[in-house]
Amino acid sequence: MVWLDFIFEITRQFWGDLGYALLFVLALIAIMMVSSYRKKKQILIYTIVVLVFIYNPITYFVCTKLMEESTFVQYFLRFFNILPVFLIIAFGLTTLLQKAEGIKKLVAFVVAIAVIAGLGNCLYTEEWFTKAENRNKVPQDVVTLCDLFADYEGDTIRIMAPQDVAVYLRQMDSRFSMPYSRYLPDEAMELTNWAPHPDVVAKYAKENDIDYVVVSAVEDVMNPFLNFGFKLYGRTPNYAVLTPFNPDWILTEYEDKSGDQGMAYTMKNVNDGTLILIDGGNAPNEEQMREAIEDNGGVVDAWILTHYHKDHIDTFNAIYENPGDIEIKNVYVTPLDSDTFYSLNLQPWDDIETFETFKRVTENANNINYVNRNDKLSFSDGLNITFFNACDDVVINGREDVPNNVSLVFKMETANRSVLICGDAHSKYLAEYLVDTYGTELKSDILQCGHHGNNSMPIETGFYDCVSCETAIFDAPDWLMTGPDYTAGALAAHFIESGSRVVWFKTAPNIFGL
Amino acid sequence: MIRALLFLLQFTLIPVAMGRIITYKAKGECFENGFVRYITGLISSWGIFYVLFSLLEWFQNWNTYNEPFIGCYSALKYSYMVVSIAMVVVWLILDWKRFFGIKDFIKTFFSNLYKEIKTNRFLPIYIAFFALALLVQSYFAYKYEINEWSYDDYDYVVSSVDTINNDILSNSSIYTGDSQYMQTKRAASSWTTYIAFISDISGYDVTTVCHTILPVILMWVAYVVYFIIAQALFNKKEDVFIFMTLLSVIFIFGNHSHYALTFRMLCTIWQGKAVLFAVIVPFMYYYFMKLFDGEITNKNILPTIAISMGATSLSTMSMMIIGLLVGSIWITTSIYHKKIQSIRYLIAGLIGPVYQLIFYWLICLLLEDMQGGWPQHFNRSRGNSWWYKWFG
Repeated sequence: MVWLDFIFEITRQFWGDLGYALLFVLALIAIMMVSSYRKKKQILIYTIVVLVFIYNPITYFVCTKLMEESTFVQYFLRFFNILPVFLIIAFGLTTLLQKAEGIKKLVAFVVAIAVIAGLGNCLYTEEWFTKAENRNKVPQDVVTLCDLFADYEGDTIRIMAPQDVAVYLRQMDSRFSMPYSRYLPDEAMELTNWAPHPDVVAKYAKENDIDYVVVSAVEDVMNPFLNFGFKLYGRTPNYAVLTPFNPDWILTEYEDKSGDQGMAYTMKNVNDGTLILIDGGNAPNEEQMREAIEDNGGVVDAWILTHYHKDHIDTFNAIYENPGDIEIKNVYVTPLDSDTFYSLNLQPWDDIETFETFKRVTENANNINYVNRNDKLSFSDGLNITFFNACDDVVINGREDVPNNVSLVFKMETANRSVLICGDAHSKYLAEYLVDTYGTELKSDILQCGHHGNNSMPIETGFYDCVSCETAIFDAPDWLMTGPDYTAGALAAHFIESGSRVVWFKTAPNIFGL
Repeated sequence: MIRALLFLLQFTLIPVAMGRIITYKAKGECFENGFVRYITGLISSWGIFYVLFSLLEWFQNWNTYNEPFIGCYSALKYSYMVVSIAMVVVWLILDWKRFFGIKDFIKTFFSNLYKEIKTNRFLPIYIAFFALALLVQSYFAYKYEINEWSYDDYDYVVSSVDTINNDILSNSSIYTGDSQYMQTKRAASSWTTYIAFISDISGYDVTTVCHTILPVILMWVAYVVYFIIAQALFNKKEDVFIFMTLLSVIFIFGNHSHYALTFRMLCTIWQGKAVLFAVIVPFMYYYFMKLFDGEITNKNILPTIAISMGATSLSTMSMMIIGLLVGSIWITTSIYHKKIQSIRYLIAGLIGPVYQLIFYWLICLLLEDMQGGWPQHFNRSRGNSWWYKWFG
């Protein structure tokens, strides 16, 4: 009964709602009954011959042996096209109209047209049939994309694009060369993914020798690629052409699982697996950071703690106290001793308990390194870290929010890109000091905004002009970014006006290549 | 302008000349019809292109070793142009007087039409209806597009684009453009190469030719075929135009499924399989019905073979469809006349499918050899190749 099921299925697929099947049968009857055409029987015989061919089990079984399984049905359905269905319907209707004369014939003719229209389905009203944007009849974005490469001098342009673009690019310019065919790899889905993984695309691009990547120009899709380090080559209204970036290091900003502000980053060398952590966030972030460490082999080569507030180091304290399978090789902290700490004008939010826990769990440790201003650290593949701020007389004598301003401020840079981490440093005097002391050395592609971007370094200090970042990171949840009681939103607006991109927990984890 | 003219010649002068030469000695009622000769010439021109294509395709692949063998597309282009020009010259020599007779043909056609209009005041209305339907369809064919991507579309167009740019016949990867990626189903039919040829000589982008120009031209060609059939079915002009109008309305509203002829006729008629179903199948139905009903003579063998070859040039599916069509018509006429019909015509009609089947089979074997299959099916080597001996 497989054959019968098949016959019913292809009949349904070919004839649709059977309106035209009915017209076809009526037309054949009309031709046989009414037509004066001398050889009308030939039409009937031919129709029967073809239908017998289609509707018999021998054809079915022979075709199953000869045709590919994947295309069998669509090829089999093409047999219907040797049946002149439309010609027979038109012939039958015209034969009927021949019985009338003059105005009656004209009226009948109009009625026949109405019947055809009523039983049929108009092609021109289909949603997929629309007015073309250009004479090539390819999407205008594709034409514009090709124009972007008009002056390109190479013979081959290795390009990776979403499928709705990929199928047209080579139609317009055969210099384009695709890494994939009809069936898209998972990596290609990232090109239009609303939460893309640029690192996945970067890896694929490297492995497949890709020169350019086409992504959706919607900001939520495009910006993660730009943040990662892809460069904008050109764009159309709906797509952006990017040059891929293959970083040695990847910096990841994590959302704080407590729902509050918090700061947790990993910095990983994709070649040798070296892992650096920066802070770790509130205590509820522990599981997330443990997973991040274990995913990277369970070894932390360097853990940099900017300062001693709970939203920065409670997770560190928990992991350090009970590391499990995690090995922490070196910890780098700002040198705030207990005497100085307790001598400060401490506020309820200065988290004495967190400070004391840190001191307790690291009491006999031999891997705690206190960092001073202008210290430098070097890691593999040319990663250098330079510290621009730490707890010292500059901060202590400033006497303004010392527990935050002792934050390690440091620049991590490779030959390709750089990021400036500010921890919770935020006061005006400190911003001015950094600008006066370090000036253009502060220039970085990525900025982690001090104090979660809220009451951060004042704009008028010129700090942000010195940094002149492409992307500003706010370690903040939505409520802090948009709440009327906080200034993070205003600072974000300043960055956007200046042409920088802004990210916060909303799109986390946010990743950046260095 | 000259290039646009070169494009148009492929659908005007060249089919007219080829049609006349190929049917020069043919006998039968249908060959007296100028439209039939034109369509015969058009399909034959594709058939001649296909023969040249298959020879050069074979030659190219026979001589392809480690590096691509470049130049066979150019060789095909120029050889077909030489053949076309030669056919036109021969036609002009043979038919010099009739060449000027085309004026009389047009004059007679319109004067007869005018006479009928004078005696039948409704005829202009039916003509106007048909003209309007044709105009609407032409407008949509020219201005509208399918706004969903299609793999077929990609495959066809890119095959043509690569043919021009790589100067290689059907041996490029449609994804990377790299040479030596043969799709045997493309290698065994010449339609994408023919599109490359008419794009190349006209200077239009392949996309423009495929998506914008050919849909209009080939739709008109299809309506010429339907007009031929209408003339065979009806004696009165009024009925002919009623039939044509109803048919065109049926096409517009006949989108009962994706497999309906409407989609192929009004959306993708530039694709080989669409030409096959919208133009070739109805024409061959008419042609073979007339042929089997007429006098059996060897003089009709040449146009029959030419049509069969042209029909199979469109797609590898042609070998199945044309074989089935010719066979069905032969069975039909045999039943109708209650006697076995001309085997000669049947064989002539099957020449194209058989040619394609053999060529396809040989190409598959050659491809196995090219891919290093063992034992080798053919005794070929660079050292034995006359091409490499002479030209290095």
